Amino acid sequence: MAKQTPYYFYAPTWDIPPPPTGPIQLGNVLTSLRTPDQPIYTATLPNSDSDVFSSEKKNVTFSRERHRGGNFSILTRFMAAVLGVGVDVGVEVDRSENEVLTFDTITTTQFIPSTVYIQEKCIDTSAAVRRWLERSRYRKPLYVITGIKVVMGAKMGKSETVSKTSGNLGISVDGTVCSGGVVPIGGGPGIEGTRSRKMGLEWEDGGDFVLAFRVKRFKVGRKNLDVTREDDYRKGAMLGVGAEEKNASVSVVEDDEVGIEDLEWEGVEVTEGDDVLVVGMPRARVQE
Amino acid sequence: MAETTISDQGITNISLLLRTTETIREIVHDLRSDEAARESRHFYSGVMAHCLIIRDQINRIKLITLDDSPLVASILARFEATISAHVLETQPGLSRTAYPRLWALNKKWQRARSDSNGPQRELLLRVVDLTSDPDESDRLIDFFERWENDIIRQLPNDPTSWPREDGSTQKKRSGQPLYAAWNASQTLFRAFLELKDCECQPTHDFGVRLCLGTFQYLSNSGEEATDPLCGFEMFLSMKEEWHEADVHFSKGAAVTFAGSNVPGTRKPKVHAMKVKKLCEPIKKRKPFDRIKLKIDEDGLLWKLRSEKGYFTIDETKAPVSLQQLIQDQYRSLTDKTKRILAVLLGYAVLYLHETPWLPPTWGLSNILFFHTTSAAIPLKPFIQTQLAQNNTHNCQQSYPMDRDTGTLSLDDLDPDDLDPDDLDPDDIDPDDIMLHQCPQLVTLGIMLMELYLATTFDKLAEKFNVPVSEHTSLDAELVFQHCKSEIPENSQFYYAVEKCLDSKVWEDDNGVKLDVRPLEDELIQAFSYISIEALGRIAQTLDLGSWGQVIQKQQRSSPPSDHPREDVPKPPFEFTSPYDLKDVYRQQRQYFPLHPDPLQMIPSPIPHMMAKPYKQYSGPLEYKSMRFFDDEKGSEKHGTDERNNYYHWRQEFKRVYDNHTTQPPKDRVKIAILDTGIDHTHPDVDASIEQVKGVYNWMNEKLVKRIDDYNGHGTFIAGLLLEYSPDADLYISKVSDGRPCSPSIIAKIMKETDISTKAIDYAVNEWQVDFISMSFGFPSREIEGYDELESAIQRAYAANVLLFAAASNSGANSDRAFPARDENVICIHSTDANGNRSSFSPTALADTLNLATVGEDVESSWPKHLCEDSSGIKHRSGTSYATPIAVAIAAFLLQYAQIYIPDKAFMLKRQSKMKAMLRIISKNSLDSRTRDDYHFVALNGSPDNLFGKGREHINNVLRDIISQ
Repeated sequence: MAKQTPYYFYAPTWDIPPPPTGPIQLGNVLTSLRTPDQPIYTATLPNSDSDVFSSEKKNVTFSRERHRGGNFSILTRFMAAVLGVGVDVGVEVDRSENEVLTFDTITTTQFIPSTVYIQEKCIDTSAAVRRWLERSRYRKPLYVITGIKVVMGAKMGKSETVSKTSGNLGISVDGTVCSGGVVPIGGGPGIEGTRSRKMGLEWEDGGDFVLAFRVKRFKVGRKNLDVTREDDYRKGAMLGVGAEEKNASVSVVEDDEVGIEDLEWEGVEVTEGDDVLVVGMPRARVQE
Repeated sequence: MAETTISDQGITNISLLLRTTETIREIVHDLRSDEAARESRHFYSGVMAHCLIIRDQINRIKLITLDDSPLVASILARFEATISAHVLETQPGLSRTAYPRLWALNKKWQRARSDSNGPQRELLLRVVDLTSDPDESDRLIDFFERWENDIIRQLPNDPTSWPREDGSTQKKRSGQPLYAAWNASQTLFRAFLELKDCECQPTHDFGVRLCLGTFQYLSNSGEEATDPLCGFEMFLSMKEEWHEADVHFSKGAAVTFAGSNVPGTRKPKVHAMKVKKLCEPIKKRKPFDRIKLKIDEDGLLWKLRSEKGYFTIDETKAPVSLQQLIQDQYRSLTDKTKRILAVLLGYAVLYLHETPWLPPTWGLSNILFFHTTSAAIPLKPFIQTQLAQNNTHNCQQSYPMDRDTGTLSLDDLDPDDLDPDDLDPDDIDPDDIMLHQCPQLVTLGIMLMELYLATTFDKLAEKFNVPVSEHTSLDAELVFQHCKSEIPENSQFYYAVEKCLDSKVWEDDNGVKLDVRPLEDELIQAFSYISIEALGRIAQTLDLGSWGQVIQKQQRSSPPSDHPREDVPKPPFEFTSPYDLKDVYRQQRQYFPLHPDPLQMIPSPIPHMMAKPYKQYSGPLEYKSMRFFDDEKGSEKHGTDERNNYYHWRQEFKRVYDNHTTQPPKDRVKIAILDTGIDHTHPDVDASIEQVKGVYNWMNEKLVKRIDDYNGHGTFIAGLLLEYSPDADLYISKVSDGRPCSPSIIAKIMKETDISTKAIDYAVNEWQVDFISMSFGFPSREIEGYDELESAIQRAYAANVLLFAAASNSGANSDRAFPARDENVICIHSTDANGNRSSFSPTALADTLNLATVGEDVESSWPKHLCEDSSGIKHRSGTSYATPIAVAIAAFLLQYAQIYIPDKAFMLKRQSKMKAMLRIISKNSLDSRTRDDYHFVALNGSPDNLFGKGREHINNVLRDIISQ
């Protein structure tokens, strides 16, 4: 993986409107990359505009040369998103040779949080975050969304699929694939050639939506392991009733960019116009 | 009282086992003859054969195996599990023995055997239910075979290949009981007697009170302690005044009793004055001093320098005799004091028999306790004897052993004894001696009985309609036959009494030792931290006046004693000084204390509870419906203080948990929750979702993996367990949608019962959990399908799965719900975070373990979409919520055992052991009482809590419980 390659994750569905109306927002504190739309807390962003910056790219082709894993293609994910249908994982549908998504405009908004920012804005100010950390016994990391790619304007997707099997694209209605309600996008997509070697998908002028997001992961540890509490019984105390709970103070012990070492995710290198970036997709989960 | 009298020790597990195999064989024999099906008959024959084999094996090994051998325990536990809980129904009080069902079965069968076809007999036949489940019967036979193989492997017929017992299991005894002590006491009496005559006028009426002890001292480096080899603490009296004294023996004297009468040529090393008359040192004694006397090799008495007395008795108060204690203050006798006393009495007989100290007619009234100046009555028994002038009694002529001291006279009537109608007539018929060599032992037997049952012998006799005029061994035996049933056969008390009364044992007169040992064992087993050597010392620190509580260093301002009896002897009201006045006040507090503690009189203010109508009683049919015992207060009712108390309680729990769980345990405890499901999306659940290892939805066959919680109750419970047992694996069983059961759908209730049944079986067999948490209940068992639920519970119990269920939330309006009421289920009550009974929690049952833990203002997760404020957090109250917390405590105990004593940890999966352990935790100090009759279980770092103590101590307590 190239050092500087930014690492993004696809939004769970491509029908989530961008902020401020949509739930995927910068500063969302997530417990799982699968649920960027269900933050346990949304941190306030740095005040100055210079800290949060956005860039816009016009007429972007979001493409991937080759996809070798037997996994969801972007397109199948897309279909799931748009149609609210799940694709049978057992069927090898996505031996995609080529996959191209073209978008009118992609706007990327991001900021670079410091450790202090995470400590102050994400942890200290949020009881929910502290509770979660305690309940996870400080063993699991949290994520904060630091970047969002929003798609605007016309879009089109095309996938040339070489299916080694009979190409039976089983589509089954199963609500478990996508979480969250599915809102059909205006204009409506169509699926071509479900049984053919090529598969395309295009639609016009849907609403804007969040394509992918970027996160920073942080882990938290307990500070001064409750020295004060330890002493309560040993040194005697005033016998007033109604002791107050003392909160354990916590601090960020590490924060970093997420790599692809995460077993549940698989990074795929894609080109966005001229830039190369890695986008994570959830590995196929065997349905329970 | 029952709480202290029923011991949960095995008399001997072995004898129980022998009896059980016989009983079961007979029962199965009867079952077989009633059975038509060929297969069943074969099975029964098999069981009978196995019973015989087991019996045979046990008989073979009983002399060489230890009573607490795991082999014996495992087979007993298996039998115990085979018998259904019905057997206990009429005798719930027995449930504290280790194998209550076997006890009950044996006892009932004994009675029922004689009348064939009696209803009792029918009932028992049904209790041994072996064929209802074919798998179960196969498993039973398998088990028998495995067990037999084990025993043959471990203890083969060839004795040379037996494993050597490791030293740790053998009871160590340092030093044999000193026969020297016996000699010494003889010498002492002679010495006193020789010196008592003097010319003083009026003549002195000497009385001696000798402190009873074990006379076994811890010696350094295993050698006999040289000085003092043997000391007697005593009080000497002259003219009704008692003087503390202390007699030491030089080594030679003790051993060579009755040496020459040649005057001593050797000077004692220490400066000493030869005592010519016994009255001299007594007269010279200054108040609060302690006379030190010494007896040299020749039996002469020397006076050493007096020391400061350290046992300051309150001379203004009359001593209390053991008889008075038993008659009037039996409540002050705890299990522990009883056992200690029993051992001390046993030793008294051992050391003092055949000496004039112990008249053949001794009895409870001769055993005295003194008040100290700090208004306590230490458990330090004295025996009182008179150094009387004249030989007024004839009794010692019929007393064959006192030839050596033939001129002595004995008088057991104590002038100070305030109990004139002494119920022990203390006269022994010469006939009796023909029957029993040692009358003292008969008396000991009687005393032990009296002590154990805390009733005087005559009352006992009255109770069982045994006409008793004298305390002969015949009478004693007769009474013993009757009250036998009240002494658990597995206690050493039983054994000791039996031995005492058995004249054959004593014929060679050498076996006195036999007598004390079992009692010692009992004491050691029961209170492992007391060694025999230290016994006397420890005993003194216990205050009889207030239930064997440890006497505090300072004078206590209000000794908490609890028996407002009018007939307790009043202290003499002589106010000689202001100091005395205070004492009298104290004493009054001691005798009439539980007088309204002002604090207890104030009703606890829980207004919102009182104002609240019971929703449960809105319709008659709702009596039948399944109910979750949840919120008893509206969420808004939980005050800040209560919440903070709860937070504090929780914090303490977690601290203990973390202190003892330094790394993730290897064996993870498995807990199943039967409830309304769980909300996976809740952050609390999400944070520890790895713990959820299995789910099953019993509400919809097509969606068995969908366990979404539409109610919230299940998420709340799961949230608690995730929080309190962060290293356990959870299995979520959805058995209800939690919607209020509509009275019209009885069928649904049936289904629910059915569901719980299946869910329990599934949890036991598929998930193989250690715990099942059930926060629901049925108000009655008269529900179709409840029988199935019951048998599922029975199966779970047999598989050593610990079942916990919520008691119910109806306060005093109804008792425990089902299944909490089931014998096989551990019922959990609710308290607030300080251990006060929650007003909605049912009243405690008598003579039963009423486990409780915090169930008020509990905070946990609630599905966000069901929350008013979308915080996902609620505070709720109910026995529903105490239950998972109790499960978490139990799970912690199991986990603790798995980490620190892995070899024995599996034993904690037995319900009896787990209950015993929870009971230990519920006691802060040894003798703390139950609060609101609940056994409040909590983990915290307070030095009073078991887990506030050192790990070594905790491990010992655990091992102790396990090996009992």
